[in-house]
Amino acid sequence: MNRIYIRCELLRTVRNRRYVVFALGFPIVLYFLIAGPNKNEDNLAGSGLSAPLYYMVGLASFGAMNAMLAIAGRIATERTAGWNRQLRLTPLTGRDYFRAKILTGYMTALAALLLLFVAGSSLGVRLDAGDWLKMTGLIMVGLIPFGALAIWLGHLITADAIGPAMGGLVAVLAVLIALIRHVFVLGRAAGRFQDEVGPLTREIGELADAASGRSRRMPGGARSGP
Amino acid sequence: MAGGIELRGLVKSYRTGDTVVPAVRGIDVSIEPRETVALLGPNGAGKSTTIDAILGLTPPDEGTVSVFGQEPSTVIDGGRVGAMLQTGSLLRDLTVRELVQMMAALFPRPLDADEVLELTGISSIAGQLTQKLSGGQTQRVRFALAVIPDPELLVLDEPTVGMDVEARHAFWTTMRDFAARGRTVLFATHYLEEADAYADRIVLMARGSIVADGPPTEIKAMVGSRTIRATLPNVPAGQLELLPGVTAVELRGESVVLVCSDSDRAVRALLERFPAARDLEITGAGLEQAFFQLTGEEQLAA
Repeated sequence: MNRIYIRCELLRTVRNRRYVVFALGFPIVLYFLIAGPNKNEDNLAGSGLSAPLYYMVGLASFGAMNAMLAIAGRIATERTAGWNRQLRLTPLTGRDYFRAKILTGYMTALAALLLLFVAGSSLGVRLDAGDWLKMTGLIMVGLIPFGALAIWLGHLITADAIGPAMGGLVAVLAVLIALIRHVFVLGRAAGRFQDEVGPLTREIGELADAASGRSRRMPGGARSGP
Repeated sequence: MAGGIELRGLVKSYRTGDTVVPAVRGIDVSIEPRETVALLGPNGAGKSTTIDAILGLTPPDEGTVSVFGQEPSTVIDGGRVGAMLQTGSLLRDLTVRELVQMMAALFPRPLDADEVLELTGISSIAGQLTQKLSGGQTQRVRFALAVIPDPELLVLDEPTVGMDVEARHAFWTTMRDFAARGRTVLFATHYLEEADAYADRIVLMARGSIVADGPPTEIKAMVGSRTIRATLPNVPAGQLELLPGVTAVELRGESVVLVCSDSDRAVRALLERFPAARDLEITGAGLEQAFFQLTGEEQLAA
């Protein structure tokens, strides 16, 4: 279809200077702030990975995810402006509309990745060509759910709610990812998950028990219920 | 029939909380191909809802809509409709020319982008970013977007809102040139002069119903009022009210104003009985008057 239509979508994205600064600049700045001081750390937390490599992959994924989630903001803004009504008066199909949006998301995500890769190399990251490609490919596949999420959110909420929604979403994702990482990555180092998270979950359980009027701590405590 | 636009028993209500607000209460309209029709009415009359139904943007609660004998969506997918909606801003971060090219890429048989810019008089701002345009310029660009598909049916929902008098005039001149190429045009307005000056036919709407439907002259004739002004000192209003064809009398110092249902009879009788009458002036009441009388509205919503 529509190379002209997609080209204009990309052109708009690139021309939006604030977007470019935050989507592409922010991960880079974070990267140099975090990985820069640790650039000689070859074995980060016993992971066998160097700090520049570890943070490069992390922030490249972060930047790519943000680029993808930004689709939500673009859709919500267009809806708020009434532009989607204008588009409904054209033969453009919903499928082609989303295709252009996802493609734009992927192009900006790719730009974020490449910038981070260049930044990584400048801090001494060296990988085989195959590894670079594999990493890029995996991140690209990993972006699919974020694209779907962004399209859904863009239709669910209005432009002025996108900021808080994205902030909250990224925070929730960060907590989830931290937890998962703890379980599956760092947790491999002998039961550390149990040591750290175990007591916390016990406490939560006890709090819940206390709130519902039961207690395992107090022998002979009042029992509620039939 | 292949026809133009057919609305049959169109009903549409909107729900706000627990209350149901009727927007259109069962209207029938037929518009022939190549007709230029004005939907005239105050705010809240149901004009925009009617237009949204014709464009397939709002599914009606009851009734049917057909455009050129087909479903609205089919006609739109065929690129045969161009529309300028009442609300909506332009896509940011593109120049006017780029925006026109982008939209043209979506239609099967679009006009050339430069032709559109030329036709709608926006060549001079073609290089500007859309977010930098003035209100009037934005309206012109929105009109250009409606023209891009080279449509058989052009629908304009209050197109001149926010334009000054000069821009409005220029706009209608452009529109008329475009319509002269054998297109069907439907526009909504609450400017009575616009409907009078630019439409072949006026469909007058108020509170979701059609109050009158006909050529502008016919609508004026339905109310039939013309006004005679004359200088005629020292005649009591009571005597003037007895003149045939006069429905109301107003004295303003030395001059009298007679509102007439039949101004021809009234003016003959006036000159016969009061030969002193001079400075005669007969004016049509215009649509404004017709509007008040037909809709019973106390005043026009601004």
